Amino acid sequence: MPIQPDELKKHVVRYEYWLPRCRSRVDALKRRKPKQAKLRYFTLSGGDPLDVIMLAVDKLLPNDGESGFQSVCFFDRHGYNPAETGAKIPGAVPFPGSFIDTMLWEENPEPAEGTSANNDYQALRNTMLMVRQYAPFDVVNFDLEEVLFTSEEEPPGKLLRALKKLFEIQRDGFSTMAAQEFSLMMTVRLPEHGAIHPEALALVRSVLDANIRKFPELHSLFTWNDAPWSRAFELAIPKIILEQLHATGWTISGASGIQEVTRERQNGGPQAEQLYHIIVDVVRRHDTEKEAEAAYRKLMHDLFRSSAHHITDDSIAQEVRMNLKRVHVARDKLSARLPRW
Amino acid sequence: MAQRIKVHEKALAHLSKGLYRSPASALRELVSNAWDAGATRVEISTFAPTFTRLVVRDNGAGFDKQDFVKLMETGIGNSTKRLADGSNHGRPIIGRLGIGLLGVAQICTRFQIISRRNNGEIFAAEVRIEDFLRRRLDIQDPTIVPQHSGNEVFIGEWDFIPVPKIDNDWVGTQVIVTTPLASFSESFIKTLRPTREGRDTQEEEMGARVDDEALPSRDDVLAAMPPLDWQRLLDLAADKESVMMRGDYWRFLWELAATCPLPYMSAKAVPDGLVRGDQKRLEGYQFALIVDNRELRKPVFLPPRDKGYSTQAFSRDIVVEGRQLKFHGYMAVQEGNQLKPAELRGLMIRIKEVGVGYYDPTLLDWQVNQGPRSRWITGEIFVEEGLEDAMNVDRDSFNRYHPEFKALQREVHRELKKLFSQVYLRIGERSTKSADERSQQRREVLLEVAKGTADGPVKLIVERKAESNETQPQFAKQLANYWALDVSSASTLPTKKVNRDLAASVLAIYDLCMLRYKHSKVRREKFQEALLELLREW
Repeated sequence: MPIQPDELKKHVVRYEYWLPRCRSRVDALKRRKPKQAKLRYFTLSGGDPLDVIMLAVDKLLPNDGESGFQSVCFFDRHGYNPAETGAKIPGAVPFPGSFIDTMLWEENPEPAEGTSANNDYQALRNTMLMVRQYAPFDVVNFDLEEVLFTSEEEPPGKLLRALKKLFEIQRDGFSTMAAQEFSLMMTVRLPEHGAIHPEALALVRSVLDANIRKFPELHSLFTWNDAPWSRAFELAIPKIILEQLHATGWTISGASGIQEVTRERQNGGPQAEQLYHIIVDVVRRHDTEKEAEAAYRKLMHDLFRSSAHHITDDSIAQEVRMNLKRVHVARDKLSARLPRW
Repeated sequence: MAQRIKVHEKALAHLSKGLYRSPASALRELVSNAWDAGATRVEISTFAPTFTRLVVRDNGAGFDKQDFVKLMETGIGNSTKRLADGSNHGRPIIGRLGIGLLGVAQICTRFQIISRRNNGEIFAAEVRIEDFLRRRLDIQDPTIVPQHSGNEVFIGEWDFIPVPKIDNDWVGTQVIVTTPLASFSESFIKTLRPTREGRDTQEEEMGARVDDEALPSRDDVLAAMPPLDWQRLLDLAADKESVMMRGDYWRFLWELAATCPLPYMSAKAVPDGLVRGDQKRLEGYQFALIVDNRELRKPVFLPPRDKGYSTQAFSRDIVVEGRQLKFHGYMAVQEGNQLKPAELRGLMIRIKEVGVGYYDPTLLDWQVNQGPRSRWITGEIFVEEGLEDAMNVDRDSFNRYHPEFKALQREVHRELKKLFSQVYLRIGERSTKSADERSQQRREVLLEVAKGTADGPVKLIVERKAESNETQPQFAKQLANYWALDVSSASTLPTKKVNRDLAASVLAIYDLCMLRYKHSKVRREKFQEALLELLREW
């Protein structure tokens, strides 16, 4: 079957952004522990874990016949049974249920014992305990492909709250370790301007206005009247994520900066979906206010001066196609290891 | 006129909570259901290593909403599978009572079931089993044993639930346990013991179990996970005295593999082609069991060894009290070495391809005490006809006084007797051979030592006809061109049999020193030197 253009575009993100980021993360781990370096990789899979297989093809994730992809932990992106995905990456640690519901487990009171609701509650609790047990992760691939702000919920919506919880878990997991850093790769859908809760729209506006007020020199780089909605979104999202990171003791590393990528995807509807990817390295927050301020200024300036790389059909390199074929071959080989009578 | 006797449903209700002795036994029943439904593939996902959920999914015939309602309304334990022709897709039918589904109640208090027939409508339901069921049955709790309901007992309740997203072309049955009992999940995690080199501890070797409250660390759990490759897993299991020493999860995999109707790793898993025919038959069923991404096979693997195995194949087709009892099987003995893991020692009885309980180390109550030799033996008995009535409801044990079991026992014991006669013969032959080899080696040692002591040619006499006037044997003599060491009378020396060769050799070098050297001090030095060398090499 020929590879679909949308799949190729997604693979550009995997190959040109995620792969180098993971490679440098592995290099950093090897510098610290030359022999024991194992990339602890957390991902949300949609049933076809090509990101994991790509990293294994590039030998960034260990995958031997004995223990398989033991350093990978994953949720099914849609909250379904992840056993199907698990069959494609044997040995990986599966977490059942929905990632967001699991992260937000503590927000709800415990339902009465003996009810279905209580059973679900206990299941989420158990999963949460296990996520904590398996954290921290060197790479968090938050490949959720959900809309960050919906028209129904006020910000911060479920997704942002879940993300914040994950950052807390990361912080707690890293607390006893010397090097406290990880790479965050996030994919969300760009909401249409009209399909966003007014409060969320206000939030986007306020973070951008706050930046411009704080750094007036940025004003020439962005004005509400001239810029398309997508540009506002691209500028606001890193700031919104940064707020969640700051609230949990993290920040974005200035050294590797913020990478933003956008692409379109056909969903059968009249208009293509807009997908937004952000790739950053996350480090513990700077010790002094002055350092933090300087780092923040640099980040915001870099962000306003650059723009997201938009992937089009024409910009797909042959190398990406070749790599995707290799990844497909590896996937099919893994799937074929068990009988399918 | 004689009156008929009734059985109250309470009896069956009791079974729903206390039927199976391990999670593997309980899930074996779901696997058997899938087998009977013509599945070619059953996948069990325990979500290892977190054990946060349990999913059993098959691609069998499935059932529809009406079947499910009927099952729930007419009562579990009312199987009609056997009303057909007794076989299904060329396989023997395993299920009999229709309580296999209840097996899952051993590890949870509620579960979901999703099923679809070919071209049928998919449905999903949640089944909830009452808490503390047995205690409440005992006290006639009116919520489960209503006064007005005659014999009926309500062990739980069920509801249809929305169908989760599932492949459109999937047909079969799926059982999902979203919250396994803590005792199940925690035990699997807490008893996992690291398997990698350098991580074993003396405590582990002694079979100590971990019961700490705290969960082990992620790295320890991952290091203790069984390998994905089944052959490698079997090799590691055989490294230890018992699979149990690796933890409950290893044991769970091992037990499932041992009892489900699965093929061997290969027809050579057991020596002398003993399971060649069985392997062909089992592979012919095309039935695969996948647990956490590993395809399970029978955990029987007797690797080739220099000494080989004593083996015995057998088959019988007899009539017991008017009913046919037909079985075949094999036994293999690994003389001189205990079989590992211990779970493989003994005999496994399989009825309609499904193992009943564990390997029986008592060899079906064989009264002949074989001591440590009983740890050398493994075997399987495939029962093709009969014996089902002798099986207890748990399908894990037998009524050992049932006539069919007694008949099987008698025949198997006959075979055991034959096998062990063969074993003893082989042991005897091997002992004689190794004693001869040892004797020969020691003679060579004596000759070398004597050559050094005599400083000249030496010949060894090991066999000679005693002369009639010989009173006390002379162990060394000087002949024309050489020294003769005569140990032919060793067997007559008045000491323990095991010491005679050594005593004769010591006397031989003593006599040699006495004859070869005149000066008493030199004699002593030479003798001491020769004696110590002899003992060093003995």
